Amino acid sequence: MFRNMIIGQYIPRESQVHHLDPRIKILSVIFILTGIFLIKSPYGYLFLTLFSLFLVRVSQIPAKLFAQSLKPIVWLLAFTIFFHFFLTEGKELFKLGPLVVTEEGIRRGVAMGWRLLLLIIYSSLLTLTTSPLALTDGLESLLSPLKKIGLPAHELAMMITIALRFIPTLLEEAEKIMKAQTARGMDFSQGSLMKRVQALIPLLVPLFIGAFRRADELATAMEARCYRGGVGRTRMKELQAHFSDYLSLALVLIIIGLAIWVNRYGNWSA
Amino acid sequence: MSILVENLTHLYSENTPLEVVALDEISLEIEPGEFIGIIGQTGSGKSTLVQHFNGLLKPSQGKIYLEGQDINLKGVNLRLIRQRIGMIFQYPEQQLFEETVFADVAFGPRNLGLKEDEISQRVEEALSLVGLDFIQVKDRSPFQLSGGQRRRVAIAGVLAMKPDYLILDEPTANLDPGGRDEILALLEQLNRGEKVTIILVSHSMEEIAQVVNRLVVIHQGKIITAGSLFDVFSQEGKLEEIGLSLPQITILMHRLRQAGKQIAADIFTPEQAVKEIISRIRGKNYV
Repeated sequence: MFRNMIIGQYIPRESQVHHLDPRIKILSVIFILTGIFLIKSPYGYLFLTLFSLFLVRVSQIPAKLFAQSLKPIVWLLAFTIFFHFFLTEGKELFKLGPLVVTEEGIRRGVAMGWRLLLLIIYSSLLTLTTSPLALTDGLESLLSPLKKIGLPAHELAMMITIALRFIPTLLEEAEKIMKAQTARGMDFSQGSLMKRVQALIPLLVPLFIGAFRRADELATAMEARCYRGGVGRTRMKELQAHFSDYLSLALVLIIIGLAIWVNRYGNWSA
Repeated sequence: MSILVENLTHLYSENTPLEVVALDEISLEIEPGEFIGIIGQTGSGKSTLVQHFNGLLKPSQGKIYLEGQDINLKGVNLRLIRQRIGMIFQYPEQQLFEETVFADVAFGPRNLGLKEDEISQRVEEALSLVGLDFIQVKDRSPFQLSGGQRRRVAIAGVLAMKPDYLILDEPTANLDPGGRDEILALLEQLNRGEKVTIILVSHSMEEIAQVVNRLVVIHQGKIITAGSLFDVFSQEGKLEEIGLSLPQITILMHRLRQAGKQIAADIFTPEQAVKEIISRIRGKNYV
């Protein structure tokens, strides 16, 4: 049942997007996400949409997977559009009972929905094309200047790596325990709410015990290999940004710049 | 009157790019009273196969019948089927969760909706079957027990449901030789004394040769060969091809035969070997 869940949804391919330096990808996504909130014109959105389609194409990742990553926010999207349609004051277009639909409402609703879609597509592009390991490496490298003011960048990255590493393990274990308790006559999907909550105890207690045991074992294994934090630690794969990486970042910045520049031709979110 | 598996195919991550054929057109019948071994390498599909027997996994194709009843039909009471077909997973001690041994063993019977006195009687029986002292352990926390004892408590938890069929997935993993022999002896006792049909999943030929009377060999989701120990072990080449070797004692007996000694061909355990060799030596001297 957990097997089909997409978590850490990295899909390995040999595309240019995959091979970009993770730091460049993280920075690009941050810039684009900021850009999305600065853009007010539909032309700007269109611009970024076309760019995202281009990237999806280059990344060689099936569009279906992007559609899947939209699933969790379908309701959020629907509510956002709905409330903007009906609750924005302005020029009245038509009435649905007590609800008034305004021109401004439609504009704002479409703009917000479009923004959300773009946010999800661009962040999915990052997580679908970057392995969790590369992602945390990139994050650590980007955060390392902040070490000077006491931010434990390496430790943070290590924690994220370990957490990501253990998600599949814990899911697998949860599945196994659920099966074992089901084999003993437990039913996880029936009965009153109270019964279902109670049904979680035989699942959660063994799961937590297992997690603590694993944490303990991992700590011992790391200490046995002389792990003592980030100071003086070298890596097997050093991140190295090439000319093409910088070029990609420049391209992203130009695109965002252009998308913001066309703000002068229409403002849909005012 | 059996577990009947017909053309069972199971796909993991069906209809995704990660689709894997775990089981490929498996057909198999398990008769009541049997002690059957299912052997295969890690990832061969043996655990996936047995999880179909009590409806924990649904087949992608094919059917499973328990005594003529298709267990995946709508309206079939799976809880009843899971009471009749008990399942002990690998490292069963990891599923313990209650505050006392008694409560944990009682979990299964309680789910069956039995009365309190019936439950406590069953708990007592199950604990004594696995060789634990009811009075001594019933109020202790399962987490205070030793690893071997915890495993026995977990097994008792399934036995307390009084299954007619008992599936065990690598029940001796991580046990010392003493603990292993105790578990295997318990299984033999259940099979002979309590008439429980036992389905033992393992990757160890040594272990399986000690106890089962029929053996099914699985490789990459397919049944490679099945039959009595003698039938299966006579196909040494085939087994080696898929990375399984005969029990060492059987190899030794084969060598002795090749060296011209008069030794029976159906020797699978050290005990049998000792008997056979002694009788051969005596035969030479005294007949």
